[in-house]
Amino acid sequence: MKKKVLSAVLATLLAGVMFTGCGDSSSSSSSTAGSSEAGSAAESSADVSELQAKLDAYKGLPEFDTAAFEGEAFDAKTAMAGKKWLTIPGTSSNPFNQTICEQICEIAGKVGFICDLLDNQGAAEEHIAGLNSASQKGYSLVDLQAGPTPETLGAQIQECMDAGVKVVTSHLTGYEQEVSPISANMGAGYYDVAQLLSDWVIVNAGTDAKVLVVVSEEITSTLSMENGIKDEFAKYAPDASVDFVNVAIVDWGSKCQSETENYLSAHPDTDYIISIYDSATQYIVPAVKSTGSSAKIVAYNGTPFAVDYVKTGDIEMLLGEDLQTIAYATVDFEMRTALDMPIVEEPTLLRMWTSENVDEALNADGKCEYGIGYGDSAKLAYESLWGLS
Amino acid sequence: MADNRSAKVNMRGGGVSGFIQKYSVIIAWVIVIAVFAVTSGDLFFNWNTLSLITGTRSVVAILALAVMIPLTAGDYDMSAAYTMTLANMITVYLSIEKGVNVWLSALIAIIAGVAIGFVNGIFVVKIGIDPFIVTMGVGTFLAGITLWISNKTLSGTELAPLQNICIGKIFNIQYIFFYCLILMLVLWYMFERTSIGKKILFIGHGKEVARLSGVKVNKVRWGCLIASSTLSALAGVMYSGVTGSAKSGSCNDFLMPAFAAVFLGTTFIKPGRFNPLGAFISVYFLETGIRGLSLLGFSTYIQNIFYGAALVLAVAISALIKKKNIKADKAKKMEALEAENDRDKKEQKSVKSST
Repeated sequence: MKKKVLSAVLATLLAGVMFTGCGDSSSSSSSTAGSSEAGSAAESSADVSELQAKLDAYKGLPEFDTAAFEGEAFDAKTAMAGKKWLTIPGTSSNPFNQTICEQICEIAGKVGFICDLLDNQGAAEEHIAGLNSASQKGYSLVDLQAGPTPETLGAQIQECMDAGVKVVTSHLTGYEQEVSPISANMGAGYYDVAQLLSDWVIVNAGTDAKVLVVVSEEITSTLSMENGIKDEFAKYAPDASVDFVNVAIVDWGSKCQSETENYLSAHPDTDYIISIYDSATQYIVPAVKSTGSSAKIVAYNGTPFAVDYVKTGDIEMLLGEDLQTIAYATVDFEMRTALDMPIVEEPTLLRMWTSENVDEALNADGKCEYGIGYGDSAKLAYESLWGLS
Repeated sequence: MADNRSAKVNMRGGGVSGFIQKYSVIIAWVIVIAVFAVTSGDLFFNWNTLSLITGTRSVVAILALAVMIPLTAGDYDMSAAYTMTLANMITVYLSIEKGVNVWLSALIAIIAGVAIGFVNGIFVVKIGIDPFIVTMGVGTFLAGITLWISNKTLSGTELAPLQNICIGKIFNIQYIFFYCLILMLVLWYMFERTSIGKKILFIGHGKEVARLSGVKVNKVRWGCLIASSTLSALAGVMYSGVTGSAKSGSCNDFLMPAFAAVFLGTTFIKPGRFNPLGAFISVYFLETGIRGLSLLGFSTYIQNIFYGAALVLAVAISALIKKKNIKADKAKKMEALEAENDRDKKEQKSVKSST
């Protein structure tokens, strides 16, 4: 009898789990106002017309603005002679990280210093092992490329810095974000990118757009992008409905599609989905198809398979960033750090991919590859600054 | 006589309590649907929700049915989700990167699944290593192979024919659900009506007893591991059709929901026994709960809480049912022994009186 009662209690508990935490925080946090004050309807209308011009600037080949760049020219070959770097991607399983790090080492070869790449699968112990070995192996600088936040590796980073090894984080945060402990942090224009994604939505869906933003809040730069989106909508489209759904990257495979489906099912009038990291579109595109939603997708990064989605029409607009420029910018920033020169804000070159220009991102086989469609202006400018050409 | 009838009722789990136990999850499912229908109204109770519940998670249903087969024979297959990921990668990689016909790619992926089951069997059956350890190791090995094939996210229009047969709809329900339904019915028939199904159940109850009874235990266990890997690979092929893409690690997280559903499936229909219908219903019961809670605004953490709690509670309930059945078995044996003793005594008395 006791066992029967216990069985019944356990079965009831199972059903009860479903109601745990009723009234708890929502999966989607709604935002119709950011940190900026919203203007009047008339002002918004005027502003919106400016947004189109802002977006149009990203349709063509991105250009490195040499006049705006504040860094001084220097003889990199001489200054960097004998230096030895270690670059650690956030995870080698992400081709975005891995390709940047490979290019960093290629550029190092051109300049004339040693650069080693530490392949890893994103586990904290792999990053710790890399940092622990840095001083023993004679590295003068360690580059943590879009990896874990430095706080989680605090002891090892401090140990490196105490031993005279510079530790630099790159492509991890927005320009406005700070991290510690670290020798230097090279930010990127995540906030501006988020504003551009929002601008596209406002221009195409109006100031009362209904928007879902899929984010992964465990990534440091996500905060910068969330703020960019909130501020832009608050400024230009205060009547818009903007909801955020948070799915950790490790859960994308099992949850991203179902969470997007649930949202679209509950909000069938959704106009746009903003995927702040385009790899999530692998699951967002099927979710849109399975729900029969008319929501359009915009995304950021420029991962090749996502550019293919632009070609097939599954993604309406993709804001791509040039990996070669990121690699050159990282090397420039880190050389200045290594040589105790004043560090400067490195530019983020972007290009807007749509059905109109996506053919320019394809190779001869009609497939998208990293590095196609962004031009060489950054490469030429940096090599000139370093005295290589 | 009355005592005997009572024992019979207990054994078969009859009466109201037996009925509730036999259909507990189905009853809970109806209650859950009713609660969500009341609390969220049209938001939950519509054809679109039904389409989503039956659609996206059908790959988990295939995986659950896959891992259920060796579990019935008493063996774990922890490599199933990794096999699914590898099959997903093989299908997409060959058709997109290598230009192989999508159907041929899918066939190669399923053959790879057969091979994985064969290798699992060598270590588990021939060498005699614990299946939990072996399949964990093979799973990790497969994760490495998948990453070696490609560390990119692959997607392309070459998969369109496969997508059409997976996410196409009839009565607003994706085709993939019907494939799962057919698979479940085939397995149900196998376990209920065929000698091989009975043998698997027999082995699951006790390998030594089955061996002594003439069942070729090793062969059957090996076959179960191959069936599990093959169906896991089929789930991977279907996943390629559902998402139209592949990425290393994308299906690995489906292992927990699959096991949760299989163990929850042992608490009803055939209480205390792994059964295809129970596992199948459990996948959609759990998915109903998660969908409903998500529609009510719960965060993604609810999936982990839900599947984790379901697995632990289902295993606990299953263990209690098994204990109850063992106790009932013992009681029946004791009654039979007592009856035999009484009969012997009566026979002895009659012999004495006749002499």
